[in-house]
Amino acid sequence: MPNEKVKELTRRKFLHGAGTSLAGLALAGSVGLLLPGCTKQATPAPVAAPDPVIGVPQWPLSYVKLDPAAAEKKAYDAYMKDG
Amino acid sequence: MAEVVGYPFNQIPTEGFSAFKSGVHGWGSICGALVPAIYAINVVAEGDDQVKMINELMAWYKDTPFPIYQPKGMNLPTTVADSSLCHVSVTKFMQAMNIPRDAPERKERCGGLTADVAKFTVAMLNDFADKKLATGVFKPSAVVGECMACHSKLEWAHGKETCTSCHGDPHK
Repeated sequence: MPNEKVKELTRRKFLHGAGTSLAGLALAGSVGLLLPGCTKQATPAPVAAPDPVIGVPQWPLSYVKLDPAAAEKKAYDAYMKDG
Repeated sequence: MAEVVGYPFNQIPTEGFSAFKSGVHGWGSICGALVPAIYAINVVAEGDDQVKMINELMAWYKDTPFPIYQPKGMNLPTTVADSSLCHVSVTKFMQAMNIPRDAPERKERCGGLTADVAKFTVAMLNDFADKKLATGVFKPSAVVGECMACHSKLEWAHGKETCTSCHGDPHK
């Protein structure tokens, strides 16, 4: 069933893995800010935005016919620039 | 597709393919022009259609005299790789011209080849979209079947590349 194939990736889930190590660094660098007794004034935490749900595209994607000559030129130009 | 369709194709960073140049950062492995073409097929086709198109692309590549696309009019000689390996493909060309790897002709050749692969792939995908896919025009070399008749037994070997390109004829 199509719905079973569709996985959903929330922004929170997506960022969780990458954010873990970065969060560790951030915590290490700003530990003073996390200790209210060591700061002059507590900063209110920002209100989190609602999690947008990003649907993972269902494979296979839909192909739309392209101009072979245009693809030829584009590929050549890309190679000569970065190849 | 990113320009014509937009999402989700515009979410694929093409820089992700840069590591495949020179047969994966100079390893001389698979030609870097083939990888994004294979990916493009793989992302829009599944099952038998996908396998047929990728087989067609690989077999066409080994049989085709490159470069076809020569916009600068350098009149470069064409060479047939008989392999999907960058090392084999580009070395045959450099030997034909007796030029080093950093020669401008070599870069022009690989640029033209990249264009050829893109054009062939798009044309094939267009046929796929029109439900007019006609594969099987290009096939592995006949010698593959001869070698694999024995060597594929007991899982000794597998592959569709032209065996003799690297192995010669070890039975002589």
